[in-house]
Amino acid sequence: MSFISYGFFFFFLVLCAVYFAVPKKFQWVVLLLGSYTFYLFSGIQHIAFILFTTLTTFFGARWLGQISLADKGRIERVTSDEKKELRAQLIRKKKIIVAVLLIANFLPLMFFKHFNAWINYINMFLGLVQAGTRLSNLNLILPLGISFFTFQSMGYLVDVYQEKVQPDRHLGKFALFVSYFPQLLQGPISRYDGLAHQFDVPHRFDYTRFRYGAMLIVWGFFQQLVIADHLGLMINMMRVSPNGYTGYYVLLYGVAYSFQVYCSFAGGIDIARGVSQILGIELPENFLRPYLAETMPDFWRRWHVTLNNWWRDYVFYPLTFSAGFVRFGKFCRKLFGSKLGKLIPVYLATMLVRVINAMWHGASLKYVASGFYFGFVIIVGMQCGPYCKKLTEKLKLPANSWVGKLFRILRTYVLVMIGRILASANSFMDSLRMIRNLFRPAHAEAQLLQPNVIIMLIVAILLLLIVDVTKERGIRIREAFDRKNLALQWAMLIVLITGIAIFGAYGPAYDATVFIYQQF
Amino acid sequence: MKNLLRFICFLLLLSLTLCAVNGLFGIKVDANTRRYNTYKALPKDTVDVVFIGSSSTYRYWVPALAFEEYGFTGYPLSMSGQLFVMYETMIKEALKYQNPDVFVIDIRSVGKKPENASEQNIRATMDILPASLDRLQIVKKVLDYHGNEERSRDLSFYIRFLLYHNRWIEGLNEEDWKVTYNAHMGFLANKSIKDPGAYSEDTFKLAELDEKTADAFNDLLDFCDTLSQDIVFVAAPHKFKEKTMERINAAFAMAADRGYDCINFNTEAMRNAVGLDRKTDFYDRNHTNLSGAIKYTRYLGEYLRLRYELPDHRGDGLYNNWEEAYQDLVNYAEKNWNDEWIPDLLTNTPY
Repeated sequence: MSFISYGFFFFFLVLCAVYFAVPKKFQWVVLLLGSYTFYLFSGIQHIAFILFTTLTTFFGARWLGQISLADKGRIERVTSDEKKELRAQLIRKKKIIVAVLLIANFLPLMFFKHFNAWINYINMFLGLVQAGTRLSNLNLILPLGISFFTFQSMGYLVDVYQEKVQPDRHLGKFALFVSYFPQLLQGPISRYDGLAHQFDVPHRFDYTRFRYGAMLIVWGFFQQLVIADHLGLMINMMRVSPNGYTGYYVLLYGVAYSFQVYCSFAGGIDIARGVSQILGIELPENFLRPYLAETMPDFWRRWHVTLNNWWRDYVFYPLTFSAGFVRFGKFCRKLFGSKLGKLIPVYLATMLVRVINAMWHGASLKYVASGFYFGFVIIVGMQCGPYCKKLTEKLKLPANSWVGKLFRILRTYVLVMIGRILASANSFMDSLRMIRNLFRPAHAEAQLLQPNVIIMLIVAILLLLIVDVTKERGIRIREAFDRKNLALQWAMLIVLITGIAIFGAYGPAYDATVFIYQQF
Repeated sequence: MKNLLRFICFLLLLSLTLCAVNGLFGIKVDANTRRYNTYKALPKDTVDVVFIGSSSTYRYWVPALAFEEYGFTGYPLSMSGQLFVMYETMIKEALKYQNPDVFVIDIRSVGKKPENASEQNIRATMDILPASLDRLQIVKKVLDYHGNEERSRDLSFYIRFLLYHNRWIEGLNEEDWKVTYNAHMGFLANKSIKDPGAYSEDTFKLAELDEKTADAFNDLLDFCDTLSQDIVFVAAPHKFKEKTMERINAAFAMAADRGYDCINFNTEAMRNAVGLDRKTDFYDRNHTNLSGAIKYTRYLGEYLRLRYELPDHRGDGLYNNWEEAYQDLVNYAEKNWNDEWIPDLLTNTPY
């Protein structure tokens, strides 16, 4: 069930009515039933995956908790020499459990995302060696939200393993943590300590919270329907004909795609957060004005924040602090000296995280290439940063002025946009064709958008940027909006909603709206 | 409570705005809307005969000519491609503004099988009707009869804005902002001439109507039974297909069984009585041009005047706009058919 459907509107209306009407101690039950009902709309055949993750993670975490508790008791009763041995045993045992559970849960995700791509690679190889046989692709449909609930659950499992959180004792509430419907479609990926306790708190209907949530939903609709979906029409035309557009049209494609993916993803997240806020449950922000980032690492701290934090906490840190990496660091320091030797393991971990992140989108070469590209740009930035700073000081360039800031924002944006072009085409070869075509004389094989649509998009994107810049300056839009007089508030809201109704790409004249990140 | 009231007020304001926008964006700059607007704007209770049907009505019946020659007012409240399941709602719509003596109902659309209705057939009528319970009823009725799985999921039949909101892409024009009218009292003239070829042989066979069609047509007859007006069922002349005519014949038989007046113009005898010449009087196989329409109007007008003793309003100041419409039509004919026979045909009554 898409957020942008009459079905969801009706579903949410009924859910809200029941949620606020039942005794507060049963609110979590309503949410759990609602979440599973929402999930069932995507097809009953996929329910097994979410149940499997819920049950294995819940009982796995309980097991980890019990082992820790029992062994702590044993450790207290033995001598100090034995303590060390016991601790090592305990960690080994827990590691095995966590490893088995991680593999068991990530395997279905990898299977659904990567199986057909690997079959294609094998077939390509068989073609190269002129083998007669070919393997067949499977007709796989990615279970709804499998990425998001798997990451969320595995984060919880690692937190329990690291004893950052206590294992949940309530299967029902844990099942709700895994399946909470607003974040099933495309995140955000919540942390257990940030989300689960909110299900224990009674939630009364709060008008201000309702208004704030509704405003966020309206803003999400604006981003998705007015900007992302109109840009999508143009992008789809160019994507099917990578050689049909050259010169600045490719640049236009890059700009359009970068805004489409941002508006679609951020719009979907805003709707999810708004829906959740109405229910009294706060979800974390997932986008912190990424296109106002001044450096590439800054961009990744602002883009899909919850996923990138997940990579940082559960992949990057464990990797860089692992015994193997520490040894590798020592080796590098010996070989390249202390300055560069210290950085090489960080560069390697950064590259790995970016590639894994890219491959999470799919196993196609275009994703792998974009992962390497972003990793490379970050590493070059880290390596050249100090030199650039020195050069700027020497040339007395106004680095801290608004011109300098704008330059850095644009530079980062252009670098991001190139990465977006790499990942957006239908195939890696198409991506390369597009980048090559960027340097050819401008030509378009068909009109991309009607003049009125172009004007509308320029105005809409300007509005989006104004809102982003305002937020960047620390102004809370909804609170600031609240301080205006009522007539102005209503007028602005009515204009925005009517604008979405008129300019949104929905209805029989358009294809059904799909959030881009829903497919991941 | 204060917040609830505020919220309700906000929703009301928003709904009003959206309704206004809905009205603005609806398809209305076409002949159907003009015909509908003109009917609504006529002085109350000044129409004697209302014609219900599709282009088989407004391409055939020349209201201003009938007024000029017979003195009664007959208005084609018909929409292009209109399907017979919509007739009940259209008659109700007609009765909201006028109280005619006679309804002339063209049943050519019975010839169309339920599954053959196009999107245009379905939308043409319902998209011009203002939001009302009658409109909801017509949508439900049409979708029950002509619907399929895809159509039943399409909410834009109920809320037309969902389909037409993107008209801003092409750009709204001046006419979107004002109400437009038909200068010829609903008639839509066509000036081209095309011989549709030899007519099919007369057929008097009755098709066995499918249950859906038979039920729907019986519902229409049931509704007609409740009306105080006289009803005439007709099928305007055209180059028909045999199977289609058999379905229309079956419907005529059902109407005749209930005692209704029925005229099928699709026989050689009737075409001759009207004086139709396929070489000069049609612009395609399904429609008469102005020449054919004049002949048809004269025949049917005379019939209605004699059979139903319709009043003569000529000279009555309340009906000046009908006289003006006739002058407009003559001017239009002279402008478009200068030195041809049609202006003469229009102005020289044979009776």
